[in-house]
Amino acid sequence: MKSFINGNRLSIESFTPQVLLLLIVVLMVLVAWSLASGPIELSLIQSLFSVWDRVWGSDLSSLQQFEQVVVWDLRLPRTILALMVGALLAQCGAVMQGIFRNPLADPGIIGVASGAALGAAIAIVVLPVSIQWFTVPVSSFVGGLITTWLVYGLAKNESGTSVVILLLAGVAISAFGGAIIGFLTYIADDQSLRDLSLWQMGSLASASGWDLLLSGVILLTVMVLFQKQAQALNALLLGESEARHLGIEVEKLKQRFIIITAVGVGIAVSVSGVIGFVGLVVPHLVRMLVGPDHRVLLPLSALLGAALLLLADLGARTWMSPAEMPVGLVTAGLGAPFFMALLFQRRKSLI
Amino acid sequence: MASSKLEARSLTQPLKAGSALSMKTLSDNVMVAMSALLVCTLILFSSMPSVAKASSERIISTDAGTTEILVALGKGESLVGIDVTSRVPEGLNPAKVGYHRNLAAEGLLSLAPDILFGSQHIGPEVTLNALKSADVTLVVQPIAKDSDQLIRNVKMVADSVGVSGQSLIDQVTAASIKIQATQEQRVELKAVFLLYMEGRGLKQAGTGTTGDALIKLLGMKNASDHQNYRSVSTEGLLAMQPDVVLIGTQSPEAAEALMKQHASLQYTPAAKSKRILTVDSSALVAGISLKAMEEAVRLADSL
Repeated sequence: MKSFINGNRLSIESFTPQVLLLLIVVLMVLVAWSLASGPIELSLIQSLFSVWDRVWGSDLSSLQQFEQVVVWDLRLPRTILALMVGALLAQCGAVMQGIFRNPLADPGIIGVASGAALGAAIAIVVLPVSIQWFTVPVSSFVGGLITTWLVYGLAKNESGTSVVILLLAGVAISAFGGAIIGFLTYIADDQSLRDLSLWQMGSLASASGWDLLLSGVILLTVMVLFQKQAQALNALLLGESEARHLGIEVEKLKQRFIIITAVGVGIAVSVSGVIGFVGLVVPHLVRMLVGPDHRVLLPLSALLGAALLLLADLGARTWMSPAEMPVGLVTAGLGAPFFMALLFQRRKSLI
Repeated sequence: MASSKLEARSLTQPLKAGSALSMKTLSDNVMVAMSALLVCTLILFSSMPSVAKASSERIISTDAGTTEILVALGKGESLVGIDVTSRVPEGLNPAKVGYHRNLAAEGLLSLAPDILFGSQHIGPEVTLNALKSADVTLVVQPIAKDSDQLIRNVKMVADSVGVSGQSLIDQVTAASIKIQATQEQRVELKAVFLLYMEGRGLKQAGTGTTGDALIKLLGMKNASDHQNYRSVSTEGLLAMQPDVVLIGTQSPEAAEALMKQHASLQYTPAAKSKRILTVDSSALVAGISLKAMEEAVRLADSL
């Protein structure tokens, strides 16, 4: 953790605006690129016109009807969902790393991801297929919340919540969840098995209007709530007793953050399946650029997380055209080697 | 024609590019050049002699059984996309569109299909809606569990692509008659269908599976009482005392390896009356398909 504080030699104020501007520009370019690319070749200008037409009721675009459907109904919801899920996961990852004061923490550490996976597994294997569009998201969200509640309950005692116990409880409950998922995998028929594997690899393909609205509302709420407590997170970096002496109610803070993260990640996992590494790698990247101050770390993590997931989704839908890869595979395939390289480079300073 | 839809659009684009943005005119010029090249290539390819077809239809099939029927009807050349379970003969090279329950809408539309065939499992909803809005004809058929449904499927496919499926239907009917001719000998037999995958052990076919459909097609009773495929031990098999054991394997050598591995199978009534037979498991991927009918005829002769 020392490296987080020794961090940058430049002062924060001089570096951050450039990074912010760069990220916003990159994000805009990526959104345009995402709308314009895919297995079907469509001109960038015409695609953007098509979106403009739908919003303002004009008729600037020369795309055919089915091409407009591709841009508006297929690419645009995906793009927006990628932005929102990426931002959610990255922010929750940054907060989890702050609370646990551990650079290896990711949003799933409190058991949310495995609980959500368990909920989805139950919905896919046991419940009827016809209502799956409804039961899977609901069940995975509820599973995520229940697991987090269990983990938090295990770790809580009169003198507070030890982060070490929280971590270990997360591991234990994840292992138990894994065993149940294993059993469900065993009794599943072939189709449920395939559905379950695909769900666990994550996909941004089926983004309904309801999913987008829900994710958007949750993202805004989460971002606002986190940002208000950013200074408290900074104080927490010094250590729990130091933070307490500064007047911060550490227990309440932890509880609040865990609940907000559980909801945020639960929603993200229920709409898109399990997408790993975004919450783990993005905060590290941002820290490398602007240092550990959470007041800038949180918003910039959201932006970079959105950009990276969008990029991963672009790859997922164009590399194996006309078939589609699950986006979780791309993030894992790129994130894991990158993280290894990062660890290797900084191994001396992390001891 | 569907395949010319794309380049017709891009040829009319430069006529609309009246605006002053030089970037736009540059990109449009590039598009004109590329689409001209595309048109030339397409003209070149379509003028090459190929299997005589009345129309250059573009067909995507996301069901293995339907792909088989299309190839048997002589429409293999029109296939531009197939799912991962479909098999086509050597020489045909359609694009792989992925798993049929999780199709990518844009991927399918990029192949500019006229017709898309699928089973009742085809999904997801988003993709189906996108296909409808692109005016692609969507033909959904249930996976055949018996020869009657197979005949209905053949008829529907033949009608959709505008050829006569009568000869194929006659073949299926003839196979069905052949099987029924020897049916009386098998009516009282208890049969078990085992799916053998190397390294993953034996799975017994319960109700609702293609193995079960094959047993019923041959007129026998399925000794199992569960649903779907379930792992079974040799002991469990012996307890069932089956009269017929059908083993679905990927190769005859696998069947021999299986018999060596589960040597106690020789104590079943099936072994004593020499009724342990192997079936090519790839024939059963898509329910009772044309190949499955052939296998059934072969089995009916041997039993």
